[in-house]
Amino acid sequence: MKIKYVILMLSLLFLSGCGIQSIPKSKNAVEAGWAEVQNQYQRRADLVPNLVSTVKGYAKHERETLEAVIEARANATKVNLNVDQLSDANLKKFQDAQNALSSALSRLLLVVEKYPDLKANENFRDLQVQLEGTENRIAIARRRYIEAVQYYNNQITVPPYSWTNSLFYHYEKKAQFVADEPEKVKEAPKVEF
Amino acid sequence: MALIFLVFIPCTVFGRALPTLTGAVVDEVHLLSSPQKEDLENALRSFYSKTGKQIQLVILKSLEGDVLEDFSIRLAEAWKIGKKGSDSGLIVLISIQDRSVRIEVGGGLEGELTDAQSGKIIGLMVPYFKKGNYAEGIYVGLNRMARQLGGELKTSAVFSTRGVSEEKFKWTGNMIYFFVFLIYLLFFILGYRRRRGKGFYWGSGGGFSGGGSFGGFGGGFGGGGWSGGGGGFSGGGASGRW
Repeated sequence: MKIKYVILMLSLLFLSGCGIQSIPKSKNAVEAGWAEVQNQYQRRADLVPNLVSTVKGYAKHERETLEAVIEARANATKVNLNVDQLSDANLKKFQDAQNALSSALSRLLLVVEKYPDLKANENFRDLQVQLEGTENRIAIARRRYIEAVQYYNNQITVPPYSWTNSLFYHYEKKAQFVADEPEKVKEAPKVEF
Repeated sequence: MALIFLVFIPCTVFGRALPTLTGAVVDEVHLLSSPQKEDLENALRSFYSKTGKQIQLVILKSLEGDVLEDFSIRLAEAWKIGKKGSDSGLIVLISIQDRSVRIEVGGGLEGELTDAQSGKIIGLMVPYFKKGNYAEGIYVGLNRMARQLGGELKTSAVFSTRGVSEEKFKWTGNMIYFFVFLIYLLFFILGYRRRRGKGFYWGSGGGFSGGGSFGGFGGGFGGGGWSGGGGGFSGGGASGRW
């Protein structure tokens, strides 16, 4: 009997060093990271209506650009993924929708250059700073997600931890953001004082 | 092909080297005079002990090509300014050669100091920086920040006389620099020529109104007990250029 307990204890010790804890922990980290990514994109989407209505007051002739932003926002908020849906295809869909909003917004901010009154408007300046801050938050949330996923994917694919995964958890790899995209996010407009 | 990429990736991932956290004021270029620096250090320390909100000032010579926001968040993640859990840290980062400034707001302070408010504070500081009045710009900005966070920076004579009346402090400020210059000249004439290399640092703004300081003089604040408390950052704040 005694020897059984010893073996049980030993195997528990062995397993605790082999991902029995760290695999679920790293999965939780991925979930938190993804929640943050969505949260920050949502934050940006929440800024858009305010931005559009402010710009509208000054730049009446830019209906097309404004409508493109509104449409891109609507599309971007439609794509919501929970952490279990994070396949490569789904993540690409999410990313494409958000990128469309990014480029619609940058077109809008380019158009705005033609309206000095709007650029001097304090409300607009605040919005621009907020937008810039949000783009920065998005970039950071994405980087943290990328790091969390990398760690998690290592845990479940690299032996010996992967054996623990295939024995107990059967988790699957999470999708990673595509590398060429962060450049776009980085090009947040700068506010000149 | 893949190998080539492997060689190049680290260069882009690891930007400029981080400075060492020596105290509440990390001033690589001696932009502030040592009484100013000491005064500000003390004020930031007592602000921290009173409010639990940790304000860190970092003045760099240059970002060495790194992106301001990238460097700033890397610094924030490494130093962990602010308390763990409440994430009550705040970093004011100034790079002289890049003529850029960033306020990095800790996760727990984002409500009290929003991006828009941070942007406004930068808007307050930048006109001073444009004229080369760095010390005043920093003073004005940090004070507004402290008030926004529900506290007050208790700076003594070196700084606070400047807050009272703008015209007055500019004048007295210039007088101080004038005297400093006279003393420096005196030393120079007396034959301390070996100091020549160190000399003044006027910052990129140049002129007498800039925050001059002695290269060789002045004992810095040791920075005993000043360190990050595990505060988290998620990219709140604002950046500006002058």
